[in-house]
Amino acid sequence: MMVSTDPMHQFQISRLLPIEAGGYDLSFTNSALFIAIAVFGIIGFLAFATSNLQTIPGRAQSLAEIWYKFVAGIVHDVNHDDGKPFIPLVFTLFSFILIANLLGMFPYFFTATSHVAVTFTMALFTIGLVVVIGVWKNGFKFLKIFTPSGVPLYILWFVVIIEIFSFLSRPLSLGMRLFANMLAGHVALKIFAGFIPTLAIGLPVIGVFMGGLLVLPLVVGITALEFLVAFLQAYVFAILTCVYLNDALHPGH
Amino acid sequence: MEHETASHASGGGFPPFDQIDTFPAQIFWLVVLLGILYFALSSVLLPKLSKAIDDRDDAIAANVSEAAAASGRADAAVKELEARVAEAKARGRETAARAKAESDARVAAETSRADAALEARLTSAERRIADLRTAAMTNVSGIAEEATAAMVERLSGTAPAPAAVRQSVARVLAASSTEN
Amino acid sequence: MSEDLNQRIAEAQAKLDAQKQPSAIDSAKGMGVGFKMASDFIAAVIVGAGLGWGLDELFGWSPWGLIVCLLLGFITGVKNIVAAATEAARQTAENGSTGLRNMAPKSGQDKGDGA
Repeated sequence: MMVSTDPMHQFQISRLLPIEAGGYDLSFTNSALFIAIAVFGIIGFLAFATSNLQTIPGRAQSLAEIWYKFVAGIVHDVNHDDGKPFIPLVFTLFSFILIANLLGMFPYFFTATSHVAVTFTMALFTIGLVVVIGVWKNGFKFLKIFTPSGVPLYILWFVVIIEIFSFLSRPLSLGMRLFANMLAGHVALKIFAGFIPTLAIGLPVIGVFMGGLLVLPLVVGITALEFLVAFLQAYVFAILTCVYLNDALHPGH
Repeated sequence: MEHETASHASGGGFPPFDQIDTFPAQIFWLVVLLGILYFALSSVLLPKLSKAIDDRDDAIAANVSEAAAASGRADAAVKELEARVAEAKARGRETAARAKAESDARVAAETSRADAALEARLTSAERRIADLRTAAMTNVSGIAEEATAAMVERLSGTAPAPAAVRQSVARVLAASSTEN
Repeated sequence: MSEDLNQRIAEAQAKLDAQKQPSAIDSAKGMGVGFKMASDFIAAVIVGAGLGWGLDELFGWSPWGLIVCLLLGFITGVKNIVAAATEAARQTAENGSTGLRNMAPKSGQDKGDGA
Protein backbone atom coordinates (compact mmCIF):
# COMPACT_ATOMS: atom_id res chain seq x y z
CA MET A 1 0.00 0.00 0.00
CA MET A 2 1.32 3.41 -0.91
CA VAL A 3 1.77 5.85 1.92
CA SER A 4 -0.21 8.86 0.97
CA THR A 5 1.18 12.18 2.12
CA ASP A 6 -2.22 13.80 1.78
CA PRO A 7 -3.22 14.38 5.44
CA MET A 8 -6.91 14.13 4.49
CA HIS A 9 -6.55 10.77 2.82
CA GLN A 10 -6.94 8.94 6.12
CA PHE A 11 -10.52 10.16 6.41
CA GLN A 12 -11.57 8.69 3.10
CA ILE A 13 -14.58 6.42 3.33
CA SER A 14 -14.31 3.31 1.19
CA ARG A 15 -16.98 0.73 0.53
CA LEU A 16 -15.81 -2.70 1.52
CA LEU A 17 -19.07 -4.51 0.83
CA PRO A 18 -21.55 -2.64 -1.32
CA ILE A 19 -25.11 -3.04 -0.07
CA GLU A 20 -28.14 -1.36 -1.56
CA ALA A 21 -31.42 -1.40 0.31
CA GLY A 22 -34.62 0.47 -0.47
CA GLY A 23 -32.88 2.97 -2.67
CA TYR A 24 -30.32 3.75 0.01
CA ASP A 25 -26.67 2.95 -0.16
CA LEU A 26 -26.03 1.00 3.06
CA SER A 27 -22.66 -0.36 2.08
CA PHE A 28 -20.41 -1.82 4.73
CA THR A 29 -17.63 0.77 4.74
CA ASN A 30 -14.28 1.03 6.47
CA SER A 31 -16.09 3.29 8.98
CA ALA A 32 -18.56 0.48 9.73
CA LEU A 33 -15.67 -1.98 9.96
CA PHE A 34 -13.93 0.02 12.66
CA ILE A 35 -17.17 0.71 14.50
CA ALA A 36 -17.71 -3.06 14.45
CA ILE A 37 -14.17 -3.68 15.71
CA ALA A 38 -14.75 -1.23 18.57
CA VAL A 39 -18.17 -2.66 19.44
CA PHE A 40 -17.17 -6.31 19.30
CA GLY A 41 -13.86 -5.53 20.98
CA ILE A 42 -15.73 -4.02 23.93
CA ILE A 43 -18.25 -6.87 24.03
CA GLY A 44 -15.50 -9.46 23.68
CA PHE A 45 -13.34 -7.97 26.41
CA LEU A 46 -16.22 -7.54 28.86
CA ALA A 47 -17.51 -11.04 28.10
CA PHE A 48 -14.03 -12.39 28.80
CA ALA A 49 -13.66 -10.29 31.95
CA THR A 50 -17.04 -11.36 33.32
CA SER A 51 -16.76 -15.02 32.28
CA ASN A 52 -15.25 -16.03 35.58
CA LEU A 53 -16.20 -13.46 38.18
CA GLN A 54 -14.29 -13.67 41.43
CA THR A 55 -14.50 -11.88 44.74
CA ILE A 56 -10.80 -11.19 44.36
CA PRO A 57 -10.68 -10.08 40.73
CA GLY A 58 -8.09 -10.98 38.16
CA ARG A 59 -6.54 -8.44 35.84
CA ALA A 60 -9.26 -8.39 33.20
CA GLN A 61 -12.00 -8.25 35.82
CA SER A 62 -10.21 -5.44 37.68
CA LEU A 63 -9.96 -3.41 34.50
CA ALA A 64 -13.60 -4.03 33.65
CA GLU A 65 -14.64 -3.02 37.16
CA ILE A 66 -12.56 0.17 37.10
CA TRP A 67 -14.10 0.98 33.75
CA TYR A 68 -17.59 0.37 35.05
CA LYS A 69 -16.99 2.25 38.29
CA PHE A 70 -15.61 5.20 36.33
CA VAL A 71 -18.75 5.49 34.18
CA ALA A 72 -21.07 4.77 37.10
CA GLY A 73 -19.15 7.45 39.04
CA ILE A 74 -19.75 10.03 36.31
CA VAL A 75 -23.45 9.19 36.22
CA HIS A 76 -23.72 9.21 40.00
CA ASP A 77 -21.84 12.49 40.33
CA VAL A 78 -24.27 14.24 38.00
CA ASN A 79 -27.57 12.40 38.28
CA HIS A 80 -27.17 10.84 41.74
CA ASP A 81 -29.52 7.90 42.20
CA ASP A 82 -31.85 8.96 39.37
CA GLY A 83 -29.10 8.11 36.92
CA LYS A 84 -29.06 4.32 37.46
CA PRO A 85 -31.13 3.51 34.35
CA PHE A 86 -28.80 5.63 32.19
CA ILE A 87 -25.61 3.81 33.13
CA PRO A 88 -25.81 1.36 30.19
CA LEU A 89 -26.44 4.23 27.76
CA VAL A 90 -23.59 6.37 29.07
CA PHE A 91 -21.37 3.32 29.23
CA THR A 92 -22.18 2.51 25.59
CA LEU A 93 -21.39 6.04 24.40
CA PHE A 94 -18.28 6.47 26.54
CA SER A 95 -16.80 3.08 25.70
CA PHE A 96 -17.55 3.30 22.02
CA ILE A 97 -16.10 6.81 21.65
CA LEU A 98 -13.04 5.94 23.75
CA ILE A 99 -12.25 2.73 21.87
CA ALA A 100 -13.01 4.21 18.45
CA ASN A 101 -10.74 7.18 19.27
CA LEU A 102 -7.96 4.92 20.48
CA LEU A 103 -8.28 2.63 17.45
CA GLY A 104 -7.70 5.68 15.32
CA MET A 105 -4.31 6.13 16.96
CA PHE A 106 -2.95 3.10 15.13
CA PRO A 107 -1.33 3.78 11.77
CA TYR A 108 -3.56 2.99 8.78
CA PHE A 109 -6.58 2.54 11.07
CA PHE A 110 -9.72 4.49 10.40
CA THR A 111 -11.14 6.87 13.01
CA ALA A 112 -14.90 6.50 12.87
CA THR A 113 -15.35 9.34 15.40
CA SER A 114 -13.64 11.81 13.06
CA HIS A 115 -16.73 11.85 10.86
CA VAL A 116 -19.64 14.20 11.31
CA ALA A 117 -22.15 11.51 10.36
CA VAL A 118 -21.07 9.45 13.37
CA THR A 119 -20.60 12.21 15.94
CA PHE A 120 -23.76 14.11 15.03
CA THR A 121 -25.83 10.95 15.01
CA MET A 122 -24.76 10.35 18.59
CA ALA A 123 -25.20 14.00 19.58
CA LEU A 124 -28.67 14.27 18.02
CA PHE A 125 -29.66 10.95 19.55
CA THR A 126 -28.58 12.20 22.98
CA ILE A 127 -30.44 15.49 22.68
CA GLY A 128 -33.44 13.71 21.18
CA LEU A 129 -33.47 11.36 24.13
CA VAL A 130 -33.26 14.35 26.49
CA VAL A 131 -36.31 15.92 24.84
CA VAL A 132 -38.26 12.65 24.86
CA ILE A 133 -37.46 11.87 28.48
CA GLY A 134 -38.02 15.48 29.50
CA VAL A 135 -41.47 15.65 27.91
CA TRP A 136 -42.38 12.16 29.06
CA LYS A 137 -41.40 12.82 32.69
CA ASN A 138 -42.44 16.46 32.99
CA GLY A 139 -44.90 17.19 30.19
CA PHE A 140 -45.15 20.91 29.52
CA LYS A 141 -43.04 21.69 32.55
CA PHE A 142 -40.09 20.59 30.45
CA LEU A 143 -40.30 24.00 28.74
CA LYS A 144 -39.10 25.47 32.02
CA ILE A 145 -35.56 24.80 30.88
CA PHE A 146 -36.01 27.85 28.65
CA THR A 147 -37.17 30.16 31.44
CA PRO A 148 -34.58 30.83 34.11
CA SER A 149 -36.08 31.76 37.44
CA GLY A 150 -35.64 35.27 38.77
CA VAL A 151 -35.55 37.08 35.44
CA PRO A 152 -37.74 40.22 35.18
CA LEU A 153 -40.62 39.83 32.74
CA TYR A 154 -39.68 42.66 30.35
CA ILE A 155 -36.42 40.90 29.50
CA LEU A 156 -37.69 37.32 29.73
CA TRP A 157 -38.55 37.04 26.00
CA PHE A 158 -34.95 37.85 25.15
CA VAL A 159 -33.59 35.37 27.67
CA VAL A 160 -35.89 32.70 26.27
CA ILE A 161 -34.55 33.32 22.76
CA ILE A 162 -31.01 33.04 24.05
CA GLU A 163 -31.89 29.86 25.93
CA ILE A 164 -33.43 28.36 22.79
CA PHE A 165 -30.26 29.22 20.88
CA SER A 166 -28.27 27.69 23.69
CA PHE A 167 -30.33 24.52 23.61
CA LEU A 168 -29.99 24.23 19.84
CA SER A 169 -26.26 24.72 20.13
CA ARG A 170 -25.93 21.71 22.40
CA PRO A 171 -26.05 18.91 19.84
CA LEU A 172 -23.92 20.98 17.50
CA SER A 173 -21.35 21.58 20.21
CA LEU A 174 -21.43 17.95 21.30
CA GLY A 175 -20.99 16.51 17.82
CA MET A 176 -18.65 19.18 16.53
CA ARG A 177 -16.23 18.99 19.45
CA LEU A 178 -15.70 15.26 19.10
CA PHE A 179 -15.23 15.14 15.35
CA ALA A 180 -13.14 18.33 15.24
CA ASN A 181 -10.80 17.12 17.96
CA MET A 182 -10.23 13.77 16.33
CA LEU A 183 -9.89 15.31 12.89
CA ALA A 184 -7.53 18.08 13.96
CA GLY A 185 -5.38 15.75 16.04
CA HIS A 186 -4.99 13.24 13.25
CA VAL A 187 -4.33 15.87 10.63
CA ALA A 188 -1.67 17.48 12.82
CA LEU A 189 -0.10 14.12 13.50
CA LYS A 190 -0.07 13.21 9.84
CA ILE A 191 1.39 16.55 8.74
CA PHE A 192 4.16 16.57 11.32
CA ALA A 193 4.96 12.91 10.84
CA GLY A 194 5.06 13.58 7.10
CA PHE A 195 7.76 16.18 7.70
CA ILE A 196 10.23 13.55 8.80
CA PRO A 197 10.60 11.63 5.51
CA THR A 198 10.15 14.83 3.51
CA LEU A 199 12.99 16.49 5.39
CA ALA A 200 15.15 13.39 5.22
CA ILE A 201 14.74 13.10 1.48
CA GLY A 202 14.94 16.84 0.73
CA LEU A 203 17.99 17.63 2.84
CA PRO A 204 20.05 14.44 2.91
CA VAL A 205 22.16 15.08 6.04
CA ILE A 206 20.75 18.02 7.94
CA GLY A 207 17.22 16.89 7.15
CA VAL A 208 17.67 13.57 8.93
CA PHE A 209 18.97 15.37 11.99
CA MET A 210 16.23 17.95 11.92
CA GLY A 211 13.61 15.29 11.38
CA GLY A 212 14.98 13.08 14.11
CA LEU A 213 15.85 15.71 16.69
CA LEU A 214 13.15 18.31 16.22
CA VAL A 215 10.12 16.83 14.54
CA LEU A 216 10.13 13.34 16.03
CA PRO A 217 9.88 14.57 19.65
CA LEU A 218 7.08 16.85 18.48
CA VAL A 219 5.27 13.90 16.89
CA VAL A 220 5.75 11.86 20.05
CA GLY A 221 4.36 14.76 22.08
CA ILE A 222 1.34 15.17 19.81
CA THR A 223 0.74 11.43 19.95
CA ALA A 224 0.73 11.53 23.75
CA LEU A 225 -1.61 14.53 23.64
CA GLU A 226 -3.84 12.66 21.20
CA PHE A 227 -4.16 9.76 23.62
CA LEU A 228 -5.22 12.23 26.30
CA VAL A 229 -7.68 13.90 23.93
CA ALA A 230 -9.06 10.51 22.88
CA PHE A 231 -9.92 9.82 26.49
CA LEU A 232 -11.01 13.35 27.27
CA GLN A 233 -13.49 13.56 24.40
CA ALA A 234 -15.12 10.30 25.44
CA TYR A 235 -15.26 11.61 29.00
CA VAL A 236 -16.70 14.99 28.01
CA PHE A 237 -19.31 13.37 25.79
CA ALA A 238 -20.32 11.03 28.61
CA ILE A 239 -20.52 13.73 31.25
CA LEU A 240 -22.47 16.11 29.03
CA THR A 241 -24.91 13.32 28.22
CA CYS A 242 -25.42 13.00 31.97
CA VAL A 243 -25.78 16.76 32.44
CA TYR A 244 -28.35 17.06 29.65
CA LEU A 245 -30.24 14.04 30.96
CA ASN A 246 -30.27 15.74 34.35
CA ASP A 247 -31.96 18.73 32.72
CA ALA A 248 -34.55 16.37 31.28
CA LEU A 249 -35.27 14.90 34.70
CA HIS A 250 -35.24 18.19 36.61
CA PRO A 251 -36.00 21.07 34.26
CA GLY A 252 -35.35 24.46 35.79
CA HIS A 253 -35.06 23.38 39.39
CA MET B 1 -7.99 -1.27 1.46
CA GLU B 2 -8.93 0.98 -1.40
CA HIS B 3 -11.58 -1.13 -3.03
CA GLU B 4 -13.83 1.54 -4.25
CA THR B 5 -13.34 4.94 -2.72
CA ALA B 6 -16.37 7.11 -2.45
CA SER B 7 -17.23 9.83 -4.90
CA HIS B 8 -14.65 12.56 -4.50
CA ALA B 9 -11.74 10.30 -3.75
CA SER B 10 -8.49 12.17 -3.17
CA GLY B 11 -9.56 14.92 -5.48
CA GLY B 12 -8.93 17.74 -3.04
CA GLY B 13 -11.97 18.79 -1.04
CA PHE B 14 -12.59 17.91 2.55
CA PRO B 15 -13.40 14.22 3.04
CA PRO B 16 -15.25 14.57 6.36
CA PHE B 17 -17.80 16.86 4.67
CA ASP B 18 -17.83 15.99 1.00
CA GLN B 19 -18.77 12.32 1.36
CA ILE B 20 -22.41 13.02 2.02
CA ASP B 21 -23.39 10.06 -0.16
CA THR B 22 -21.86 7.77 2.48
CA PHE B 23 -23.83 9.28 5.38
CA PRO B 24 -26.75 6.82 5.21
CA ALA B 25 -24.33 3.90 5.26
CA GLN B 26 -22.30 5.36 8.14
CA ILE B 27 -25.38 6.21 10.19
CA PHE B 28 -27.07 2.89 9.46
CA TRP B 29 -24.12 0.82 10.62
CA LEU B 30 -23.44 3.10 13.58
CA VAL B 31 -27.02 2.71 14.81
CA VAL B 32 -27.08 -1.04 14.24
CA LEU B 33 -23.72 -1.67 15.91
CA LEU B 34 -24.28 0.69 18.84
CA GLY B 35 -27.68 -0.94 19.28
CA ILE B 36 -25.95 -4.30 19.55
CA LEU B 37 -23.44 -2.84 22.02
CA TYR B 38 -26.16 -1.25 24.12
CA PHE B 39 -28.20 -4.44 24.15
CA ALA B 40 -25.23 -6.62 25.09
CA LEU B 41 -24.15 -4.22 27.82
CA SER B 42 -27.52 -3.52 29.38
CA SER B 43 -28.88 -7.06 29.28
CA VAL B 44 -25.86 -9.21 30.12
CA LEU B 45 -22.49 -7.65 30.72
CA LEU B 46 -23.11 -4.66 32.99
CA PRO B 47 -25.56 -6.45 35.33
CA LYS B 48 -22.97 -9.19 35.81
CA LEU B 49 -20.23 -6.67 36.45
CA SER B 50 -22.24 -4.51 38.84
CA LYS B 51 -23.42 -7.58 40.70
CA ALA B 52 -19.83 -8.73 41.18
CA ILE B 53 -18.91 -5.28 42.51
CA ASP B 54 -21.92 -5.12 44.83
CA ASP B 55 -21.26 -8.64 46.07
CA ARG B 56 -17.69 -7.74 46.92
CA ASP B 57 -18.71 -4.52 48.65
CA ASP B 58 -21.28 -6.44 50.68
CA ALA B 59 -18.74 -9.12 51.54
CA ILE B 60 -16.21 -6.53 52.67
CA ALA B 61 -18.78 -4.69 54.75
CA ALA B 62 -19.94 -7.96 56.30
CA ASN B 63 -16.35 -9.02 57.02
CA VAL B 64 -15.52 -5.71 58.65
CA SER B 65 -18.58 -5.74 60.87
CA GLU B 66 -17.91 -9.40 61.69
CA ALA B 67 -14.34 -8.56 62.62
CA ALA B 68 -15.61 -5.74 64.83
CA ALA B 69 -18.05 -8.12 66.52
CA ALA B 70 -15.37 -10.78 66.99
CA SER B 71 -13.03 -8.20 68.45
CA GLY B 72 -15.78 -7.12 70.84
CA ARG B 73 -16.32 -10.70 71.86
CA ALA B 74 -12.60 -11.16 72.39
CA ASP B 75 -12.51 -8.03 74.58
CA ALA B 76 -15.41 -9.34 76.66
CA ALA B 77 -13.70 -12.72 77.03
CA VAL B 78 -10.50 -11.00 78.16
CA LYS B 79 -12.43 -8.99 80.74
CA GLU B 80 -14.19 -12.08 82.03
CA LEU B 81 -10.90 -13.92 82.27
CA GLU B 82 -9.37 -11.05 84.20
CA ALA B 83 -12.31 -11.03 86.60
CA ARG B 84 -12.00 -14.78 87.12
CA VAL B 85 -8.30 -14.53 87.77
CA ALA B 86 -8.84 -11.75 90.29
CA GLU B 87 -11.52 -13.79 92.00
CA ALA B 88 -9.31 -16.85 92.14
CA LYS B 89 -6.48 -14.79 93.54
CA ALA B 90 -8.69 -13.36 96.25
CA ARG B 91 -9.95 -16.80 97.14
CA GLY B 92 -6.40 -18.11 97.28
CA ARG B 93 -5.31 -15.31 99.55
CA GLU B 94 -8.24 -15.97 101.84
CA THR B 95 -7.52 -19.69 102.03
CA ALA B 96 -3.87 -19.05 102.76
CA ALA B 97 -4.73 -16.58 105.51
CA ARG B 98 -7.14 -19.02 107.11
CA ALA B 99 -4.63 -21.85 106.97
CA LYS B 100 -1.99 -19.63 108.53
CA ALA B 101 -4.26 -18.56 111.32
CA GLU B 102 -5.19 -22.18 112.04
CA SER B 103 -1.64 -23.36 112.12
CA ASP B 104 -0.63 -20.37 114.26
CA ALA B 105 -3.31 -21.26 116.77
CA ARG B 106 -2.23 -24.91 116.84
CA VAL B 107 1.39 -23.96 117.28
CA ALA B 108 0.48 -21.60 120.11
CA ALA B 109 -1.56 -24.30 121.85
CA GLU B 110 1.21 -26.86 121.53
CA THR B 111 3.74 -24.38 122.78
CA SER B 112 1.68 -23.42 125.82
CA ARG B 113 1.01 -27.08 126.58
CA ALA B 114 4.66 -27.93 126.40
CA ASP B 115 5.46 -24.87 128.52
CA ALA B 116 2.96 -25.95 131.15
CA ALA B 117 4.40 -29.49 131.27
CA LEU B 118 7.89 -28.16 131.57
CA GLU B 119 6.81 -25.76 134.31
CA ALA B 120 5.17 -28.56 136.23
CA ARG B 121 8.21 -30.74 136.00
CA LEU B 122 10.38 -27.83 136.98
CA THR B 123 8.35 -27.01 140.10
CA SER B 124 8.20 -30.62 141.19
CA ALA B 125 11.94 -30.90 140.74
CA GLU B 126 12.48 -27.71 142.72
CA ARG B 127 10.25 -29.02 145.49
CA ARG B 128 12.17 -32.25 145.62
CA ILE B 129 15.40 -30.35 145.84
CA ALA B 130 14.03 -28.25 148.68
CA ASP B 131 12.80 -31.39 150.50
CA LEU B 132 16.13 -33.04 150.08
CA ARG B 133 17.78 -29.91 151.34
CA THR B 134 15.67 -29.62 154.50
CA ALA B 135 16.13 -33.32 155.08
CA ALA B 136 19.84 -32.89 154.66
CA MET B 137 19.78 -29.89 156.96
CA THR B 138 18.07 -31.84 159.74
CA ASN B 139 20.58 -34.63 159.33
CA VAL B 140 23.40 -32.05 159.53
CA SER B 141 22.11 -30.57 162.83
CA GLY B 142 21.73 -34.07 164.29
CA ILE B 143 25.28 -35.00 163.35
CA ALA B 144 26.56 -31.64 164.61
CA GLU B 145 24.78 -32.10 167.98
CA GLU B 146 26.24 -35.54 168.37
CA ALA B 147 29.66 -34.33 167.41
CA THR B 148 29.35 -31.32 169.66
CA ALA B 149 28.19 -33.50 172.57
CA ALA B 150 31.04 -35.90 171.96
CA MET B 151 33.58 -33.10 171.69
CA VAL B 152 32.28 -31.39 174.83
CA GLU B 153 32.28 -34.72 176.70
CA ARG B 154 35.85 -35.43 175.64
CA LEU B 155 36.98 -31.95 176.66
CA SER B 156 35.07 -31.56 179.88
CA GLY B 157 34.56 -35.12 180.77
CA THR B 158 30.93 -34.55 181.39
CA ALA B 159 28.11 -34.99 179.00
CA PRO B 160 26.39 -31.69 178.23
CA ALA B 161 22.72 -31.28 178.48
CA PRO B 162 21.23 -32.27 175.15
CA ALA B 163 19.00 -29.18 175.14
CA ALA B 164 21.90 -26.79 175.46
CA VAL B 165 23.79 -28.63 172.73
CA ARG B 166 20.82 -28.46 170.38
CA GLN B 167 20.40 -24.78 171.14
CA SER B 168 23.96 -23.77 170.43
CA VAL B 169 24.24 -25.91 167.34
CA ALA B 170 21.10 -24.33 166.01
CA ARG B 171 22.58 -20.91 166.69
CA VAL B 172 25.83 -21.71 164.90
CA LEU B 173 24.03 -23.30 161.97
CA ALA B 174 21.76 -20.32 161.67
CA ALA B 175 24.77 -18.02 161.70
CA SER B 176 26.61 -20.06 159.10
CA SER B 177 23.57 -20.36 156.94
CA THR B 178 23.22 -16.58 157.02
CA GLU B 179 26.91 -16.30 156.09
CA ASN B 180 26.40 -18.45 153.08
CA MET C 1 -4.37 -5.71 73.92
CA SER C 2 -6.56 -5.48 70.82
CA GLU C 3 -5.97 -1.80 70.18
CA ASP C 4 -4.08 -2.56 66.99
CA LEU C 5 -6.88 -4.72 65.66
CA ASN C 6 -9.51 -2.17 66.63
CA GLN C 7 -7.57 0.51 64.83
CA ARG C 8 -7.33 -1.60 61.72
CA ILE C 9 -11.03 -2.32 61.83
CA ALA C 10 -11.78 1.39 62.23
CA GLU C 11 -9.56 2.19 59.27
CA ALA C 12 -11.25 -0.42 57.10
CA GLN C 13 -14.66 0.91 58.14
CA ALA C 14 -13.63 4.48 57.34
CA LYS C 15 -12.40 3.41 53.92
CA LEU C 16 -15.69 1.65 53.31
CA ASP C 17 -17.66 4.74 54.33
CA ALA C 18 -15.51 6.93 52.11
CA GLN C 19 -16.31 4.70 49.14
CA LYS C 20 -19.98 5.39 49.59
CA GLN C 21 -19.41 9.10 49.01
CA PRO C 22 -19.56 10.15 45.36
CA SER C 23 -16.03 10.20 44.14
CA ALA C 24 -15.12 13.18 41.97
CA ILE C 25 -13.04 12.35 38.94
CA ASP C 26 -10.53 15.11 38.86
CA SER C 27 -7.96 14.26 36.26
CA ALA C 28 -7.59 16.39 33.18
CA LYS C 29 -10.82 18.21 33.75
CA GLY C 30 -9.37 21.62 33.07
CA MET C 31 -8.65 20.62 29.51
CA GLY C 32 -12.16 19.27 29.13
CA VAL C 33 -13.60 22.54 30.39
CA GLY C 34 -11.51 24.40 27.83
CA PHE C 35 -12.62 22.23 24.91
CA LYS C 36 -16.16 22.58 26.04
CA MET C 37 -16.12 26.36 26.28
CA ALA C 38 -14.59 26.74 22.85
CA SER C 39 -17.02 24.42 21.12
CA ASP C 40 -20.02 25.82 23.00
CA PHE C 41 -19.15 29.28 21.75
CA ILE C 42 -18.57 28.22 18.16
CA ALA C 43 -21.67 26.04 18.17
CA ALA C 44 -23.84 28.93 19.32
CA VAL C 45 -22.49 31.21 16.58
CA ILE C 46 -23.06 28.49 13.96
CA VAL C 47 -26.61 27.95 15.23
CA GLY C 48 -27.19 31.68 14.86
CA ALA C 49 -25.80 31.68 11.33
CA GLY C 50 -27.78 28.59 10.33
CA LEU C 51 -31.03 29.88 11.80
CA GLY C 52 -30.53 33.28 10.21
CA TRP C 53 -29.79 31.79 6.83
CA GLY C 54 -32.85 29.55 7.13
CA LEU C 55 -35.13 32.46 8.04
CA ASP C 56 -33.73 34.51 5.17
CA GLU C 57 -34.40 31.65 2.74
CA LEU C 58 -37.89 31.01 4.10
CA PHE C 59 -39.16 34.56 4.41
CA GLY C 60 -36.81 36.49 2.16
CA TRP C 61 -35.59 38.70 5.01
CA SER C 62 -32.09 38.73 3.61
CA PRO C 63 -29.79 39.93 5.07
CA TRP C 64 -31.57 40.90 8.33
CA GLY C 65 -32.32 37.37 9.52
CA LEU C 66 -28.69 36.42 9.24
CA ILE C 67 -27.46 39.60 10.93
CA VAL C 68 -29.87 39.43 13.87
CA CYS C 69 -29.51 35.70 14.41
CA LEU C 70 -25.74 35.83 14.14
CA LEU C 71 -25.75 38.53 16.81
CA LEU C 72 -28.03 36.44 19.02
CA GLY C 73 -25.81 33.44 18.41
CA PHE C 74 -22.79 35.42 19.46
CA ILE C 75 -24.54 36.57 22.64
CA THR C 76 -25.53 32.98 23.35
CA GLY C 77 -21.95 31.86 22.83
CA VAL C 78 -20.68 34.43 25.30
CA LYS C 79 -23.41 33.41 27.72
CA ASN C 80 -22.43 29.74 27.35
CA ILE C 81 -18.81 30.55 28.09
CA VAL C 82 -19.68 32.76 31.07
CA ALA C 83 -22.00 30.10 32.45
CA ALA C 84 -19.41 27.34 32.02
CA ALA C 85 -16.68 29.49 33.57
CA THR C 86 -18.91 30.51 36.48
CA GLU C 87 -19.86 26.92 37.10
CA ALA C 88 -16.27 25.69 36.88
CA ALA C 89 -15.07 28.45 39.21
CA ARG C 90 -17.85 27.75 41.67
CA GLN C 91 -17.02 24.07 41.76
CA THR C 92 -13.32 24.75 42.07
CA ALA C 93 -14.02 27.00 45.03
CA GLU C 94 -16.41 24.46 46.47
CA ASN C 95 -14.48 21.23 46.38
CA GLY C 96 -11.10 22.10 44.98
CA SER C 97 -11.65 20.25 41.75
CA THR C 98 -12.05 21.76 38.34
CA GLY C 99 -15.55 20.47 38.08
CA LEU C 100 -16.72 19.39 34.72
CA ARG C 101 -20.05 18.19 35.95
CA ASN C 102 -22.93 20.61 35.78
CA MET C 103 -20.73 22.87 33.75
CA ALA C 104 -23.07 22.73 30.80
CA PRO C 105 -24.98 25.87 29.95
CA LYS C 106 -27.82 24.91 32.19
CA SER C 107 -30.88 26.44 30.80
CA GLY C 108 -33.06 27.71 33.56
CA GLN C 109 -30.34 27.63 36.13
CA ASP C 110 -28.12 30.52 35.21
CA LYS C 111 -29.84 33.17 37.16
CA GLY C 112 -29.93 36.36 35.25
CA ASP C 113 -26.65 36.06 33.43
CA GLY C 114 -28.48 35.44 30.18
CA ALA C 115 -29.18 39.13 29.81
